[in-house]
Amino acid sequence: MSTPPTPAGKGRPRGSGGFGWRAFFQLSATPVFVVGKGRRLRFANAAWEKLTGVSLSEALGMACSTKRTGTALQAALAPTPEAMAGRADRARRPAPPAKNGPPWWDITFAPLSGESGIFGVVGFVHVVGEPVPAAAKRVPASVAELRAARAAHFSLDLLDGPALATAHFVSQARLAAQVLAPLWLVGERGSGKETAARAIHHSGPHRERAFVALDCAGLQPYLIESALFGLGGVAASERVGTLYLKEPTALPRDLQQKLADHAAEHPQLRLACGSERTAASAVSDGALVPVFQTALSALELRVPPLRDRLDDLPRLAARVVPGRALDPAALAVLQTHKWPGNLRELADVLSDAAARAPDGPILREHLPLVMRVKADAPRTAPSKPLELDAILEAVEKRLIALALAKCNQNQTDAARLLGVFRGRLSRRIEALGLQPKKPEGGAP
Amino acid sequence: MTRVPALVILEADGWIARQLADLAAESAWLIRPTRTVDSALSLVRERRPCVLFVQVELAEDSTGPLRLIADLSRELPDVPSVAVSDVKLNDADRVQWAAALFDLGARLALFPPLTQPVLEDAASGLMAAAIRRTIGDAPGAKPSAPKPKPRRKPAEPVIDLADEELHE
Repeated sequence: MSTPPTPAGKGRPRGSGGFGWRAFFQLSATPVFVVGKGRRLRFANAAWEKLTGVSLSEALGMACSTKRTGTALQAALAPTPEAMAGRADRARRPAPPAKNGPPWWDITFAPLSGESGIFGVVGFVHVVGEPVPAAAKRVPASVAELRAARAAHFSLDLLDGPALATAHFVSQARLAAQVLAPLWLVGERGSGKETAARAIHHSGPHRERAFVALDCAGLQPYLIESALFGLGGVAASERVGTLYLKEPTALPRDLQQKLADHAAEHPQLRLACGSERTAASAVSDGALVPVFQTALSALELRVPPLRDRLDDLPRLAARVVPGRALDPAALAVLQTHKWPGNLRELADVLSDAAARAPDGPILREHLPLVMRVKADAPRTAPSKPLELDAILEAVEKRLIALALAKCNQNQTDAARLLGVFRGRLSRRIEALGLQPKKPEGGAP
Repeated sequence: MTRVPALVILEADGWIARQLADLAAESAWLIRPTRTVDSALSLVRERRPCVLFVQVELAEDSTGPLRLIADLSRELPDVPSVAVSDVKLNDADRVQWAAALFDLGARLALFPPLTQPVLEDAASGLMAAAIRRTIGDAPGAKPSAPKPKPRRKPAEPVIDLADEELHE
């Protein structure tokens, strides 16, 4: 790109006294351009060429408008409606090719009006604001280190424990980590669904990509839509490996459908959902579009509640209050509790206990009084022994009596109804001590 | 008894705190502005429903706020954090940073243009969820997304033609 030579004789209207307006503008260090009545570029000076990186010969005749099909440069140079109406105007535009600033172009539009109306607009460009340094825009290495440390923390070992329910869940989670199928995690509140989803992600094939978790019941749908599909939204990014939706049933149905469509079009993105209920029950309630169940809950994992994994308590306690031992008496109290709030409740109880006793092991006395009293209280209803033989005998008696009553005490018909031979029925009637009744309106 | 909810704000200039002051006053929440990562962490450790807003510097030498987000989501996963950046980025850089912030544990990443309604909606929605986690839902309540805060339209000037006629 070079400064075009001033064409001899051009830009000197008759009676101008030899004034060469093109040469005049070429000397200006301010980028200047001229747009005709039809919004086509008619002239631009060397400073403009330097700023835009486009030569005048290439740009001449370019339509300067904000049409969607146009380039960022065309949009930036477009005269404002005010300027086209004949009044001087100023506009701030993102410096092309970027779609947003900084830097910005402050463009002053000076309309050129004649007797028959406006015939062109002169534009003067002033650059405002410093571009964001490239080093600041890239995700720095220190962030990558933070992420690596975090990924190491969220391994599948984090979920492991000696309890049977935990071992079963972890084995399922290991299988889930090997595939990219959509995941539906069912579990009570506070049972650790998001932690499980994160651990599965960091052990899976897309572990180098990001894990994005959105709380659908905690953010307005427009904020979720904007974070996913808005300007710079992460949904279509190849940087995202797993999109975790916490309680997707809280989303409006149109957004659920949009997410399902998006997931179908982008198989590289794994969708994981965490909910207190299964996808099937949410669909039957009408809280979820059916496509979520059919396509996006291929793997359904049940996260066990804490009451089903009480053997994990010592390990969990060591994680919540690291470096603090748990007294056996305190552990016994914790093991009698039902934990309706699951891991969240456990973390609260242990954090409070650790705060009450800054040093040494956590003792029984450091636990909440309510828990201690409940642990001490004798069980109000001693559990009834379950005697299988007696129960089966009672059931059999009841069924035979029912069949005989239905068949008007006819043992042959009753045996057929019960699916046994008549001889066997007679023996069972005798063994169970059933008294045959007289048939209604006839001989036995 | 649940303690008063608090918005903990880690920032240098107090802009976010000013934007959220009206909402906090209406909802009777505390605003706890702070300038250091350590004090922010000790504030969110208090046993109360809490939402953390962190002004993040997208630069190599300023990873303190990012470390706070990462530590918080690991140690206190129930405290949601919102990363707020005042740096304008192009689409590609914005996606890259948003993905990194979400990956570190932020519940939401906000970039310019930052407006008061957006900050207020993010704070109110996440705080409502934090309160629900602390005190629990009403029996039988189903999860539902929070609604945007209703905005009052600016009062339009009333032109009283009768009055104008009187003056003519």
